[in-house]
Amino acid sequence: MNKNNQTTIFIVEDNEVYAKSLQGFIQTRFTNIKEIEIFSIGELCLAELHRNPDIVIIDYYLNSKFEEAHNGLEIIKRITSENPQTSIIVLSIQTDINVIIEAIIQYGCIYVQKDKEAFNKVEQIIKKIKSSKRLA
Amino acid sequence: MIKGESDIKNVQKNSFGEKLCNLNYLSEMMGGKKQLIKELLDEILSQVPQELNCINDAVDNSEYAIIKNNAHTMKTSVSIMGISMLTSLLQEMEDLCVVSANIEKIKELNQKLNLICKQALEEIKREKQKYV
Repeated sequence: MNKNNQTTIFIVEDNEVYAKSLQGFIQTRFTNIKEIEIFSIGELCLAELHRNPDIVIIDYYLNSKFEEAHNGLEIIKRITSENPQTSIIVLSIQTDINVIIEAIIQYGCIYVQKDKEAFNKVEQIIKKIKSSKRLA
Repeated sequence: MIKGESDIKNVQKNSFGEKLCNLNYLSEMMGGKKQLIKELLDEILSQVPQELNCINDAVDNSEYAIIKNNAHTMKTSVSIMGISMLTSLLQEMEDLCVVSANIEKIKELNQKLNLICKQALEEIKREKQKYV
């Protein structure tokens, strides 16, 4: 977060409709977001990590357009290694409990199931993250 | 009449009946902002036919992995459109593709998917006029 408490958010999601819905939702709920950038594959997000996003919201399955694209966990590993200060929200329909556990426990991510309440939960999480970063 | 045929006829009958899409969720999440909603409806009208084409091609070629990936992606798209009946259909397609089984059943499900999406997209085109 910069000194004006403005937040940079990356959304890593290969479904453009969902990504733009989430982007629009965050823009309507928060007034002091510096930028929200959408990446359709994780590799493109990794290339921009030098911009130090405060929050990365990432889906697990990212290979609907490019079969060779890494899945979300692979990207999370790189983000936590290169930008440990970035908060990561995994937003996915993924129901494999082992994947969820790995994301949360091993990488300290926050997991949100993609359902009707997902956007509202993301809003609450962003509020908490912004609040905790202001206090730090 | 086999079960699949009666299901498809029910979907065709529905085209004269209830709405398939529920855009209240989308409108609420976008805070009712017309321009935002219109842009998303345009995105849906562009993306969903592409997803359908990918699935149709993959079904024609029995490419289970591609069907599975696109069915998975489409679940997310249809959730934004509020088409709850498609979630279980797409999940069933995905599950069949995981075991690379029963292409005939997948074709039947895909036929239903195309019918429902065709109606849904027509509804969205009409709905979009409210946001112009």
